[in-house]
Amino acid sequence: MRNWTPEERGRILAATIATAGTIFARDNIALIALWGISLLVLWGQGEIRTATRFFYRIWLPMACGLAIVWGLIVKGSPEAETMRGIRPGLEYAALIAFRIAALASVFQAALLSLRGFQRVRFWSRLGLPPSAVAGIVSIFDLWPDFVRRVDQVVAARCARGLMTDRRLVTRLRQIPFAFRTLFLSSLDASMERAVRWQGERLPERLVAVASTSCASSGSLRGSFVWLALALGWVVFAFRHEWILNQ
Amino acid sequence: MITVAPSPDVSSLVDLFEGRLGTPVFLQGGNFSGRSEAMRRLAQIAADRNELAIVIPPELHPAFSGITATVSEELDLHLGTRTESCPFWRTAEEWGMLTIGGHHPLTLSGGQQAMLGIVCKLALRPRFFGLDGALEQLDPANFRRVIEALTSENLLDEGSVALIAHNSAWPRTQVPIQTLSTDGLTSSDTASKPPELNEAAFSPEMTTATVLDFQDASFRYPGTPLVFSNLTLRLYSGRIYRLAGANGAGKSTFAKLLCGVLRLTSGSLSVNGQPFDTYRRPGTLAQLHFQNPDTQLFGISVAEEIETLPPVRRDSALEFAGLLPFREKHPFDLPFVLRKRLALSLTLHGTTPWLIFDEPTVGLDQAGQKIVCQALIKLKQAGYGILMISHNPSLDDLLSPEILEFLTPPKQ
Repeated sequence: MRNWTPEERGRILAATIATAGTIFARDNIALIALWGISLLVLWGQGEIRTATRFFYRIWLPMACGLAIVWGLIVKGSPEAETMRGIRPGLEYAALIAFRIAALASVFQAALLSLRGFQRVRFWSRLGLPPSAVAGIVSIFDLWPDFVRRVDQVVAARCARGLMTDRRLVTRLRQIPFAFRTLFLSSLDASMERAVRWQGERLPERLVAVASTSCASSGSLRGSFVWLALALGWVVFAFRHEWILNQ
Repeated sequence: MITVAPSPDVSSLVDLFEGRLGTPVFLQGGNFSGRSEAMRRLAQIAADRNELAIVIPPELHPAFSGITATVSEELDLHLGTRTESCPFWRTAEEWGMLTIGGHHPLTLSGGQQAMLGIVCKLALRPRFFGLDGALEQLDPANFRRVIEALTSENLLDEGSVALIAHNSAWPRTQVPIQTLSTDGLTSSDTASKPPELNEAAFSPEMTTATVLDFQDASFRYPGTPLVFSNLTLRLYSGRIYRLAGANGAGKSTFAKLLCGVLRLTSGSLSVNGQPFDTYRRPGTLAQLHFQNPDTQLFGISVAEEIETLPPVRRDSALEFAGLLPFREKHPFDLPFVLRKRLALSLTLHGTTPWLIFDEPTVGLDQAGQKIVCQALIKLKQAGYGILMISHNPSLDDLLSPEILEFLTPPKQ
C-alpha cells in the first residue's frame, strides 16, 4: 500500500477538506458515505480493527445516548423549535452521531494511522520546530500512556488487597484512585520530561532520527488519490444536499 | 578510599568533576548522607558549564524519553543510525536489548529497564553520569557489564565522570572501583534526616499455616512465548523463599500470578489441597510489594495510605517506617527512600498468609536492609510465607532463604 500512501501535505490537505465538509454537511447519507470511504482507507492501512473497536466501544454507546437525549427527552433539534417530536429529535441525534463517526475515521486515517517515527516525520515535514513536534507527538501518546497507568493502578490495588474481586462494581470503584494517580503522575512526569528533554536535546534528536530512519512516507500519486477522494466527496455531499432542498 | 572533607565546598566537587579521581567512582554512605545531594551539585556544575549531566534514579522511568512505543525506537532515538562501528549499538546488542526490541520500555523487568536506560544515556555522551541506586536491580552478570562499560573509553569520553551510589553489597568485578565516602558531607539531605526504620515497632500477629501447590502451571503474556511451563511446585508457609534468576527470567511475573494480578495460562494452584483462583480473588492469598514504590502508592497523604490497613496495624506501620513526622505529606513529595519504606511497611503489615517482596532493599542502606530482614524473620516466625525477589547477596546471609532458581531465559 506504500505507493498509495499520501505525502504529508496531501494527507493534511485531504483531511482538512473532509473535516471542513463534515462540519457543514447536514445530510446523513453524505456523512455515511464519508465514513464508508474512510473505513475503506483504514482497511487498506490495516487499521480496521482499531476502527471497529472505536465503533462498538465508543460510538455505539454514544449514539444510543444521543438518540435517548434528543429523541426521547428533548424531542426535537435545538435549531428547529417549530418541529417538535421524536422523529426530528432522532434525525438530529443521527446527524451528530454520523458527523462524529465521519470525523473520527478521517482523523484516524490521516493522523492516528501513523506510527512512531512516521508521526514525528509527518509533523516535522510540515515545518514545525522540533520542540513543537515533540509536544504534539507526546499528545498522541497520552491515550496509550493513560491505559498503561490505569492497568498499573488496578494491578497495584489487586496486589495490596484493596480490590479483592473483579466484579464490575468493584472495578468501577477503582476509577477515582486511577484518575487521581493519573492526574498527579501525568503532571509530574510531563514537567520532569520537559526539563530533561531540554537538557538532553531530545526534540532535535527526535526530528533528526525520524528523518533518517523512516523510508519515504508517501507518494505524489497517493496524495492525488486522497485529494480526489476528499474533493469528490465534498462535491457529492453538497450536490446531494442541494437536490434534497429543491 | 578518598574521603570528602567535612562541609565540602563546591571546589572539592569540581576536583572530582575534572576527572582527577578517574572513573567510575563509588559513592559510599548511608541514606541521607548526601550522596544524592553530591550528584545534584555535580549535575548543576555541569549544567552551569553548558555540559550534559545525566542522573538515573532508582525508580528508573525518568531514564526513558516517554515518547517511544518500543525499545527499538528508544534505542534509535538515543543511539542514532545503527552502524557496525557504533560502540553503543554493539553494547546494546551484547546487553540483549535488540532481542527485546518490540517491547514497550516500561513493560520490561526492572533490570532490563536499568540496562536500557544506561546504554541510551551513555550514548548522549554525558560529561557527568550519575547512577543513584539504579544498579540495585541488576543480576551480577549485568552489574559487571555496566561497571566494565563505565571504564570503557569507547562509551564514556575521557574526562567524563561516572558516579555510582549503591546500597547492596558490591558484586565482584574485574574493574577496580574508587570509593568516595560522603561521611561528614553537609548537605540539605543530611539536614533533613528523618527518623530511622524502627524494628521494635513491628510485631506481627500469628497467621494460619498454608501449603501452596502449583500443578503443571504455565504462563504466557498474550501473543508471546511461554514465560514458564509445566511448573510443579510446593511452597510451605513459615518459610522464606528467594526467587533467583537473570533479569527478565519471569520472577516478577510469578509474583504477580500468586497475588492475582495475572492469571495462569494453564495448570492449577491449590491452597491446603483446595483449588484457588488467585485472579478471581486478587490480594486475598498473597500481597505484593512492587520494585518501584511509585507504582503501588496512590493516596494523597501518608495517612491515607496507612488507612488502607486494619486499624490495629496503622500506628505500627507508621512507626516502623519512621514516617510519623510525615503523616500529612503527599507520598510523592517524599524522597525515594521514604516512599520505599512506606510501601514496604504497607506490605509488611498486610493481612494475607503470603507476602511477596520484589526487590525490598532497593534504595535502603545497609542498616535499613538489616531492619527489613529482621522484620521478615518475625513474619516467618509468625507463620507467614515469604517470597522475595532480590539480587542483593547480603540477604542470603541475613535470611538464609530457600532458593527457587528461575532458569528460563528471557522470552522474546
